[in-house]
Amino acid sequence: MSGIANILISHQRADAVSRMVEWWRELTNVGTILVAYGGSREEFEKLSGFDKVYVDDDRLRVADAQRERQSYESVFRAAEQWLEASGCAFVHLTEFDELPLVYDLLERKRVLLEEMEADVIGYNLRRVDGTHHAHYQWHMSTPSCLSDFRDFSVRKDSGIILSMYGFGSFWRTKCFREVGSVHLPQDVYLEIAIPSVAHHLGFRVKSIDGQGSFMSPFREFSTRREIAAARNAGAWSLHSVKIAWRKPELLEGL
Amino acid sequence: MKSSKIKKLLSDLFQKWVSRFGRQIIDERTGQEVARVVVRVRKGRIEVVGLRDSRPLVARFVPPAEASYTRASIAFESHEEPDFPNERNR
Repeated sequence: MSGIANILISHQRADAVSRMVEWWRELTNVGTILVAYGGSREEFEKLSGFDKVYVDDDRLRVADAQRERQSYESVFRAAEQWLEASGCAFVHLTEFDELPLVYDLLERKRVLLEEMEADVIGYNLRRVDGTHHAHYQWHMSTPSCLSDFRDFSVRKDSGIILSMYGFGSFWRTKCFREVGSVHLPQDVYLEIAIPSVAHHLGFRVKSIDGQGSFMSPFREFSTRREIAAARNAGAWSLHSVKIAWRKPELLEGL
Repeated sequence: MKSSKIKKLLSDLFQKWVSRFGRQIIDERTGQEVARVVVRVRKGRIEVVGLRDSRPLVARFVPPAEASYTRASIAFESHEEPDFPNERNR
């Protein structure tokens, strides 16, 4: 078993999604792509030329990801069958607004995963229990939701809570599928749920270091100049570039 | 401009101002500056404003070098980088 399954989450219009898939195909030239679509059913029907799955879940389609505790549980479940059929050994999971900038992005992540002997790697991995971390504190307003990890934890310290960005994670398929099989009874925001579930199942979760300045949860990169500057400064990819697929001229010549 | 955008803009501007002119917070574990903040007391609680971009920090009272009945220091420290082994293959 080998190969990389590349799962791209989007809710944008069909033409934008097609451009996104095209860019990923041309640039990374590796990986079997699945679009996990969370937009309208009408736009989903227009998607063609690549594998797709419709994710019909209100917990994916939220207006405020953090405060409404957005979840990717349904994305993991929706991709399960496709993933099994793909036979891929690795999974890359990202969102529409991560713009890949190097040809060997997925290969770099695979090498990093192997070097660190990790089961999943991601951006901005932090241990947050007991800290001022905004998402952790928001969950502590209903503290019982963070104790659900204790029910299945194989760790000595079952109180550890991790946080990691939802985009750009890279997985061993076995880990991805096991994490996807866990249903948390209470709502936990995906940036906490995903790495914490993986950790408490006993998988090794590690951080992708050295790319932090190109991975911003707050900043929107919206000009060719900013994108080119990031690439020249060593960015493997860039987040967040929400308009990349709606404004194709932005990427011309890059 | 939408009110949410104005709110975000003001928040970003305030964050920039605090990160430049706020008081320094040192991570007790690493000895490095992790943030510049404004500290205030509000509704009987101490509020620390400006930690948005810092590493997640745990607050704790620091044991004093000499016993003191008048003053207590609160320090901040981050956890170690997550580096837990795989416990599936054991």
